[in-house]
Amino acid sequence: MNNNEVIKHVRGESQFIDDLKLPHDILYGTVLTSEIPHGKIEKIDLGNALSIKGVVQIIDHHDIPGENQIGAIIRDEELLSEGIVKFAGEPILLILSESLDSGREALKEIKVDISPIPAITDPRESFRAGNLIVPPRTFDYGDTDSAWEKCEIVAEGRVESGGQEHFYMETQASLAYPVEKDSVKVLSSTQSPTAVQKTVSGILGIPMNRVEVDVRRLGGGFGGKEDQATPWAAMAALGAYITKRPVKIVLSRSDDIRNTGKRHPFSSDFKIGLDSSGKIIAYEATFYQNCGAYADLSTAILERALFHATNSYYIPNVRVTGISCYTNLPPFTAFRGFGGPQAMFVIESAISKAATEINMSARKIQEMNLLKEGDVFPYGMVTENCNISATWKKLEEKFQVEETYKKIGEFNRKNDHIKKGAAVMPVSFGISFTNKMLNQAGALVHIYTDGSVSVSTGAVEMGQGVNKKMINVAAETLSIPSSRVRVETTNTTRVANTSPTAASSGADLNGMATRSACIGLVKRLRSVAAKSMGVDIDQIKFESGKVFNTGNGQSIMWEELIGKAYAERVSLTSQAYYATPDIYFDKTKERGKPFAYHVFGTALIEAELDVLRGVYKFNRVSIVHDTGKSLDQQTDLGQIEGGFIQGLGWVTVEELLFEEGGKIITGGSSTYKVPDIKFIPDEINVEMMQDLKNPYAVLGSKAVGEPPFMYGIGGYLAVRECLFAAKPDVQLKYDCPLTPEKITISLM
Amino acid sequence: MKINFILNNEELKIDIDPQFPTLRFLREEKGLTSVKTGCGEGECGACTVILGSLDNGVLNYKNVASCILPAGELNGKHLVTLEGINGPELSPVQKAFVDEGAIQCGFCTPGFIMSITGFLLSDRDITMENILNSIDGNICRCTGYYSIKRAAEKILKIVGTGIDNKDRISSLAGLSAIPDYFTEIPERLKGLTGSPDMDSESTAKENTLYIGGGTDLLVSGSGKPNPDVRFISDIKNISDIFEDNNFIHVGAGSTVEDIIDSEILNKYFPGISDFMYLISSQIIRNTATLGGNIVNASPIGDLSVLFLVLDPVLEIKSGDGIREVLFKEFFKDYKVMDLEPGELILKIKIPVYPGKRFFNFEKVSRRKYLDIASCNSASCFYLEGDVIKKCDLSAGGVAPVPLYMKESSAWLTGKEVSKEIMNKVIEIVMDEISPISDVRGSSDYKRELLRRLIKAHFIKLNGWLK
Repeated sequence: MNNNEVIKHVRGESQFIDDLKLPHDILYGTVLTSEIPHGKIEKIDLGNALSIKGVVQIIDHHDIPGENQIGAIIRDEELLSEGIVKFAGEPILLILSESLDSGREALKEIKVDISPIPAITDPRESFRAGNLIVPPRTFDYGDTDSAWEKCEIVAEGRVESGGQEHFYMETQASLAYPVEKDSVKVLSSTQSPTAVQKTVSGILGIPMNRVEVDVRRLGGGFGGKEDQATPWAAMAALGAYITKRPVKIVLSRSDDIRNTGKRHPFSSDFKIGLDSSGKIIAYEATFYQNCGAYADLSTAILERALFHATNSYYIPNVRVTGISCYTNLPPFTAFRGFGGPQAMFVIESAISKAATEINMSARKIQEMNLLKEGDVFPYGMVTENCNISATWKKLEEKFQVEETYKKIGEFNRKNDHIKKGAAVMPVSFGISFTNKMLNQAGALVHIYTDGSVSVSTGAVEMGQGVNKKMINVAAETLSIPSSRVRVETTNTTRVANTSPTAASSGADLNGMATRSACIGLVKRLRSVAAKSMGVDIDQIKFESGKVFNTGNGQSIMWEELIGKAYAERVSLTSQAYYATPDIYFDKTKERGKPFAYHVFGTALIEAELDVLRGVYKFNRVSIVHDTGKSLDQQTDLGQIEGGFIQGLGWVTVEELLFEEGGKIITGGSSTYKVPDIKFIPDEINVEMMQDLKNPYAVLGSKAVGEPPFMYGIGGYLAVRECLFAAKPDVQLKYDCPLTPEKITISLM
Repeated sequence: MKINFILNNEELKIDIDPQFPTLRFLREEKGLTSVKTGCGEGECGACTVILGSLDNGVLNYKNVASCILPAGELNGKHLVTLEGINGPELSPVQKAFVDEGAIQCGFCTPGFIMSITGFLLSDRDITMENILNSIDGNICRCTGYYSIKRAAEKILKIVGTGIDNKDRISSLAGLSAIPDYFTEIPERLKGLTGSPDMDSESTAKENTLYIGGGTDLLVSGSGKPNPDVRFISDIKNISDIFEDNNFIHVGAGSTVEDIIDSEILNKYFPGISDFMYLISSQIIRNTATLGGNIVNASPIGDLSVLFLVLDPVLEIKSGDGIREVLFKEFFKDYKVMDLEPGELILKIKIPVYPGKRFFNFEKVSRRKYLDIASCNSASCFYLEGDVIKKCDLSAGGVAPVPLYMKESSAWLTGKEVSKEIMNKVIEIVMDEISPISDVRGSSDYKRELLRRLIKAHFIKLNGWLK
């Protein structure tokens, strides 16, 4: 097991950008942002800012040599505002100073006069005003209009889900160096080195080959550094390019919370129809996506929400519509699940509502409608290796679901002050970037003459363990100990045109490329070995750092073989490329096969409510998760547990609040609370189903990053059950997070 | 301010603004980057360090948040960062984290290692519960904490069984949990030219800035430079808790952990320790003081609300003399107190009356632990049979000040405990409060919540009476 990385972490020796030793001429970038959510900049008065000792330069949009544009999908966002600000926290000026303190002092000196324009924070209001990023999209399957007649029960309702701050422990950070006169090198805490490279190139007006982006590691990402790392890196690069001095920008926690995008809040309507047995006949939903001030990745996120609108269920008649609405809030962005959680929360709410009306348990309805092999998703993809029922059944067997419910019923009959509740949450999550183009990756593998191996890919390590997985793939393919393999930084000059490390696909795509590069090397080395041993190449076998002649059992060490290959002038470097095959999507018809495969799993969450105080806790969670043949079990377990807790946080304690006018209320770590060690359920059981091998990812594995997040929704549903036990006629909106305040008000 | 202290294995004499955050000193001036900047307000634990001090010749270590630790507090102490823990091999704490995969992005990891190591160095019993308490202020956004719990179990197994509580430092050094140089620290600290203990008699000036733990003062960065900064921890006897003539004396410099540890307070007010865990995390509990929480005057201040019902008297040093103020009359208006510049609260004196005593504290916040309450409330009853001889009720988050509920408390006196008086007093409580809507909740919610918390007092009281 390769422990180098974690050993550095426990010794505090791993370096994040803010930890790097700085050159003597370093400048610190401080960003002045708008205090007003929507307005026109009338006047900027620098006051005495430039005469403060240490302040070197103050940059505005006029100083940008290239194009003042950072929008990745839709080009609607300026790096530094040119006159209209659309959210509180929008960058206007970049102050460069020789110390952090003088930059902050300068900030206080500068007065920006902004005349306010009415701000909109509600996506439905934006919709009514026609303030959309793109026209609404609808996935239509079956014949919904005529299906309602066939339904015994039709339930309708409205669902709200709140935003979520990423709260990656390392805030946004970048450090840019001028390289000679015409180039820059940027170290950035980004999930998208290529996006940074491309944007910097545009901002500076220089070709991409003069911008090198390097990423060692991130102190957490969760989607929050997919697109939102770019502006800070671009500003550092801009400062470095203009002043010819290195520039560092690291956001304070409160600036990070205030100025950067988060998970999209959704406001949704649903209509669901069932027959008397509980079979879902029809489902309709409309998602009003609160996109914030700029498009960012919103349209892609909305698309995934549409893909996951029916979660794990087969429904013959479906119509789901998604509407991307601009508002005057920070540009909402990628966050683990990428729209999937928001959409799944809506269908689970719909089932919950229907269950109440049909007087049947939600669990029965869920189970009855689970996807089966060969069922079709509303976007036309046919399920293949559909394991959702397998995980459901395993959960029932292994964790006594039926009995748990029975015990809870008994408990509730005997207790008034505490009420218990449980919910089962199935998850089916599609793997691949929904933008087909992004499903490509490259790897560059060197074997040095001492036999040690260097792997570079487009994947960024942010704690999800992709480096460890790459090491395992390379070590297994080359049949050498993993201690011989090192994963390098992610660098745009070694592996170019990379896709972001996102969509849970980092290990899938880059692992395939790494494996392919290693196979290329093995092929060459096999010839060298065969020649050297004087046997046929079929008789050569690689195993545990040795190369065997299977004919006579004789072997030579890996290192010796590498020496021979070098002497024979055989290339010890291999580059490889991978593109996911057979995926496509036709947006004009909203039909296709956008995913290589799906990840499945089911969770049981048990909660209890303190009826008097309106507070709750979670007693136990049991998860059966389809991991495929895990590339690293400890890593996958960490992803399942960590993802689940983040999802649970989203529906419970993490409340992102904005004033009516658009300013953030929960703008610091004392007001925005993420789960702590005492919040988590007392007990967790995770069962990885490894026997369900996957032909569509590297070495039979499956992606694992995002799907477990959505088990957290079960936490919301479980607390809801507690509430119903406390007050059967409780009126509670489908609105997450479910705070003690909402509970208490509903119990009044 | 000139200070003299030991940083890891090195003695330092430096001149520094006493209010400068220790975190910035460590990172910017000493290049010790294991100490991470996570939030800058003591909420995440990424910057956790260990602070050792000699109290009456005994060396005590505790884990603290360096981002809100004023540099002046380092004087005469031993400050430890992870660089000062690392040995040639991994410590058992480090090894447990590696083995259990309790690390993902690694940014929070040094803070966790420091909190647990600091706890092992303290005098607390090594139990699972205490290990988890020691990291309750360390946030990890990646793992969901389960792997960290598994690592904690492993540490408990290895260190918990191998330790000699009589000489923890040597014993931990023997287990490679800390380097050997720790054993010489007590002697080395004695040789430092730290400031002599300040006498509480020394007169303050108008502009004297007394700093308790600094846990609130430094949240907004270091304060305005002040020529006369004094540290509460340098004042003799100001953290003493003792019993004398029907009074419990609680020094204003007592930290939240001192309150947890106090046998006297726990004897008279059972459960007080449990409430302390709701209030703050270990890295804050270790430095935050009672006096500091009182003079912060936050309308939701947990300690103020809790101590209000103990009906104490504040002993305030004023010029060369001492004056006393009833705590229930101390708060005048939002952030307005009966305290003049240069005055210092020395202690709070809690009267002990004869008879059966019931004491309770309630708090509801979005996150149960270490979050600011939407509303909190405390109650203290003295009873004869079911008759209330004396009653004190308080609440936070429902008025411009931590509210002593005078009318309600007076009305209850002399009544027999019943459902009827509970319902009646809730009506009186509702007339006494004036909550506003804010980030902690709407005013309607706070009213309803307080109604429920008063009920909770009575339900617990009833259970206790039975």
